[in-house]
Order: sequence, then structure tokens, then C-alpha cells
Amino acid sequence: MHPPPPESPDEFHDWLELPRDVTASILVRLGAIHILKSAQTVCSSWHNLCKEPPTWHTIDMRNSGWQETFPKLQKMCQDAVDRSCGLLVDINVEYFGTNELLMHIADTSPKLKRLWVVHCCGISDEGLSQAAAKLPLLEELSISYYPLTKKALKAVGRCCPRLKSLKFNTQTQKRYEEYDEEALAIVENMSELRHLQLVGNRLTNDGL
Amino acid sequence: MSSSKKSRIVKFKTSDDKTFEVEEAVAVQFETIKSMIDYVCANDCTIPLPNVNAKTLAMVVEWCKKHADERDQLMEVDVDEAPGAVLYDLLVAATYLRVEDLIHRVSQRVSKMVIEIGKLPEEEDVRKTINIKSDFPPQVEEELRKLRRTLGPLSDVLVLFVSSGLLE
Repeated sequence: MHPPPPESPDEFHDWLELPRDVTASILVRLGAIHILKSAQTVCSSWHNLCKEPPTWHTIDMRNSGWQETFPKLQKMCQDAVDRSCGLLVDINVEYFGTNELLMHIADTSPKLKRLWVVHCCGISDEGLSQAAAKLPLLEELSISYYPLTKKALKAVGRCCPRLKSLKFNTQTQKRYEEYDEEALAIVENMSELRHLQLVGNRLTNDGL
Repeated sequence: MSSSKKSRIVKFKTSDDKTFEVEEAVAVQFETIKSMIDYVCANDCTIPLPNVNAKTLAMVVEWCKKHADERDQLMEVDVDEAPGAVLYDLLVAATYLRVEDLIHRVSQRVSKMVIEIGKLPEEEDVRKTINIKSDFPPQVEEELRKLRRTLGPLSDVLVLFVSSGLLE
């Protein structure tokens, strides 16, 4: 890889000349943490775009999140959700998610279609059930490494009639007995489901 | 249509005053130009491109010549090794000519460059990496630097910064 040639200051470009949607397509790809921590103070056009709700249709909290403490990530996530002004459609929360944060998302994001929750010990069955009640448009739910029970699955099925995709990964659960009730809860409550992925589930042949 | 089967040539004049001959098969991929090709060819016109230089137009033409399937592989090296200034020129050109695929490819590369800075970058790192100039008033810049210094890179500088009211 060749190092870029040294640039003199007058070679800097005025990125204000780019159309908004081009700049927006760069920002959206950066992910929420980069936008909040650096992109929004790069220049005025980026700053303005970072305040506009459509920039926050999708909130991806993955990039470089490990450098921050959970309370800060929770605060940043909440800030990002607030900036979407109810337009949020797609969100990805890893590790730092809590019931409170999930409730905030559910309370303010009636249009949410896709929710990814990975490794969030701070979210309980009740938390997810209560949030689901406020997310009638939810189409895709992915829950990984989280001990969710049939109770929450039933609640999600009842409250989210449009649910088409469910990914449910319980790999870390130390449970060895055979158990069909989760799968039954899914079948009985999620009639629109088109895509189902169960990992680490103790489903038996009979249950299947 | 009376146009001949033979591939026609569309002429452009770039911002650095160079004349460029582009095959019709490539020119039709410029959405902005597409509808005027018949007229331009029939009247032997040259289309001026006031904000696209010859070097950038050559890259755009090269991009469009590749078959859509091969594009990503063939252009990977060119786009990935281009510094921020070249990417900016490409974005301006692709936007002006409306070559959607190229806009997506380059914006993807720009955001990747920012992410690849490695740590959580500060605005100055982002500006240097992709050649963006700050247009904030000096007092805003000064305040931002002060906050970064006193609170450190991992603190909630920006939330404070924004709530300080310096920026609307």
C-alpha cells in the first residue's frame, strides 16, 4: 500500500459541496458510536446531518464500543434513539443493553422493525415482554446468548403479529435436559414467522 | 431510431480543459447525460464538466467500462489506495454524472477509512484521514480542543460540547 502523498492545506476540500444524501450515506456506514464521538464535529455539514432524524433510521452500536463503559454506551444509545425522533427502524444493541434502555427504545420508536439484542444480561423476560407490547410493527428479532424463556416468547408472539424472523441463540445456557416448550411457544404464538433459527435449544424429536 | 449500430462517441470537456472521448456504452451509465446523447452526437457537441477534472473522469470511465460483476474486484485496488482527496473528487464526479454504484462504492470506502483509524478518532483525525476541512468558527474549534484536552478522548466530550450551545 502506498502512503498518500503529503497534502498542503489548500488541497483540503469543502465537503459542503457534496449533496446531503451522499454525505448521509457515508455517515450511516460509520455506525452510531463514530457519529456521536467524532463525525458530528468534523464540519458543519456533517454536524447538521447528524442532528437530522433520518440519519438515525438505523442505529448500529457495534463499532469500537469496547472502549467505552456500559453507562456511557447506554447514554449514547439513548441519545441516538432520541435523535431519531420516532423514525428508528433498525437497532443493534450489544452487551450494555438494560431493561430501562429497551423500554426507552420501545417507548419512543413505534416504527421499529428490526431489533438485535446480543449478550445483554441486563435485559430480563419481563423487560422484553413489556417492550414487545409497544413494538407492534416488529418484523425481525434476534436474541443471542441470553436466557430468554417461553414466557417472553409468548409475549413477543402476541404483541408483534408481523414478526417474520426470529433468531434465538441460547448457546451459553447450562441446561442439558430436553425441553420443547420454547419451540411450542413459538409455533403457537408466531403465525407469520417465515424464518426461524434456534441455536443451543434442547428441542427433542417429538417436539419437532 | 435512425442512429447507426456503430458505437458512437460522446465528447466531454473537463474542468482542466481537456477533451475526452467516451464510448456511448460508457456514457449511458452517466444518468445525467443519458437522455441527451442522441442530441449531442447528432450535433457534434462537447459536454462541459465544470467540476470534474481529466484524471477523475478517467477513473470514472474506467469504473464504468468494467462489467458490473467484475467491478468490485477490478476497482478494489484503485479505490482502496486512493487518498481522501481523490475519493472526494470521485464522489463529486459520480454525483454530478449520477453513477449510483460508484457513489456507493466510494462512500463505503470513505467510512471504512474513518473506522480503520483504529482507536475512536477525534474530529481532527477524521479530517486528516479523508481530507475534510473544518468550517466551524475559530471559537468553536478552540472550545472543542479545550474540552478534548480537559476531559480526555473517552469522555462524553460531544454531549457536553453540543449542550454548551456553541453549535446550533
